[in-house]
Amino acid sequence: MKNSVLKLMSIILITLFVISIIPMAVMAANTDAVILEKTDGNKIIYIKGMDQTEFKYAFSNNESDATSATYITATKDTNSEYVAFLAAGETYKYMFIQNGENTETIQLDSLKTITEKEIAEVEKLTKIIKVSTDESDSKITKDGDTTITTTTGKITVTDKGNYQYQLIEIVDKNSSTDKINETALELYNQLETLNNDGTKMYDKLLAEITVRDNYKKLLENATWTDAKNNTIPEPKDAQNGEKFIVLIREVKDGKTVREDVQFMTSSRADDKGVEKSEKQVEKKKKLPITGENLALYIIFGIIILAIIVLIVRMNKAKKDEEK
Amino acid sequence: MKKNRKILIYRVLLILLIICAIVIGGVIFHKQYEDQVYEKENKELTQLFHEEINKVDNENSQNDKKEKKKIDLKYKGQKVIGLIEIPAIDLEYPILEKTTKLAMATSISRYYGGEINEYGNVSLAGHNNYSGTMFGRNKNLKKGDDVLLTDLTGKTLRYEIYDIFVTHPDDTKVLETKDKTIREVTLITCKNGRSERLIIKAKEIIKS
Repeated sequence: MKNSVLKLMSIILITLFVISIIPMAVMAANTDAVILEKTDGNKIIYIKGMDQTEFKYAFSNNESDATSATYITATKDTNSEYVAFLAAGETYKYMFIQNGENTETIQLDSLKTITEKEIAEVEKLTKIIKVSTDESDSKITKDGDTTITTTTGKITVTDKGNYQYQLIEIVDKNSSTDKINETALELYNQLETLNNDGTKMYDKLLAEITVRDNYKKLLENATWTDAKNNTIPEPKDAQNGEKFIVLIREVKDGKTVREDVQFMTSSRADDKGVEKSEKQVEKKKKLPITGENLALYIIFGIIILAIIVLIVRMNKAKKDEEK
Repeated sequence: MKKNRKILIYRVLLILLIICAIVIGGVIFHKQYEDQVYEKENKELTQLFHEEINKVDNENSQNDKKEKKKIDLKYKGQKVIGLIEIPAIDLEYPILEKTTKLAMATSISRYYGGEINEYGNVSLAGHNNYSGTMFGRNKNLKKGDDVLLTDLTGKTLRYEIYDIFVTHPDDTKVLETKDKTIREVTLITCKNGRSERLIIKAKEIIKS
């Protein structure tokens, strides 16, 4: 009896020991993913860093099913990236990802999701309300005796309607203490990412989610200013090169008709001129006469010639008289 | 008898022509003499301008005030507003405030525009003297040649000729300022007697 108990205890201990040294399933490591929900309800899951890896995946509502679940091999999407696929209507709590001997667990409800419709709205941003950014304003001021010509940029809304705007400065992350400025910076950076070719789908979707969320946050906290003559000027104290997010909305009968976002880079230039003359010079009708009068010289020449001719004729006449 | 009468007429005509030649010759000679006198006076005035500029430069460099002292010179009742130099044709003249008959006879003058070295276009007029004085040698200038203008604070700016053309006397568009953010100078003188104008346009060279 004692021997049997001892034997059983030994077996349990050895088993536990062996289990402890065998590589085990790592629980929810640093793996991240984003979900793209298609219009038909199907979901495509992009795993960070695995777009070129033929991984295997499985779904379950129990975290402990990682080793016993039935794994499906990832397939390539239209961008030739390996993805996981979850059919419309199916809901699970966990997703297991197997890559070689490693298995990772992700909690699905912790993943960020974006729909195709939301992507289309994000991609329309900066194109909803038509603007012109090529124009500038010049202002002449005096600083003592020096005339300063200040040229500043502006945004002009070219669509008809009444518009309001808010400018939010994009500041360096390390120097900003304002959450709204940080949100603006993130929005700006992610919009730049969307404009880059060759971005992986995981990064692109994450950027679109950030733009969607940050844009919404900025709109919710906006304080609006009327755009006089549909013009959005640079802030008076903006220095050359400073960047701003410009939220624009069209209002009609007190209601928002549409919203959009633009970027503004301050293009302020100060030209200091020399002292400006107070003299008013009258308008000229003709250019000045700036040549010597040739007539005098010509007449003088003719007179000399005439004198010579006259002397010759006089001499001839005298000779004829003597004959 | 007839022949005596003929010779008499010739003699009278000859005397009249000689008188005319003396009068006209006298006028021409007087003008040439005047030109030489003005040339001498211009050289002295230019010398004085440089001396005054040196004094003003010293004073301005010693004081920190934004307002720079300016020189105050007059010539033939007109204020001198600057100095023009064109090294390519060895030209150096003071610039008089306003184009009048006397100003034209004596030196280069401002026909239109603001102060020297001010933003915008300033137009200067000068005679096309056959002796080569004033703007008499402007026809030898070419694109790329320099024009130096010194203002009353002593600041000298370099302008580069970018356009040379002939136009008619009614073409006042050459006087206009087309770009208020640059400094430009227009030189005007006659061509083909007084029937046309030789226009030389130069703009400030800005070092990058």
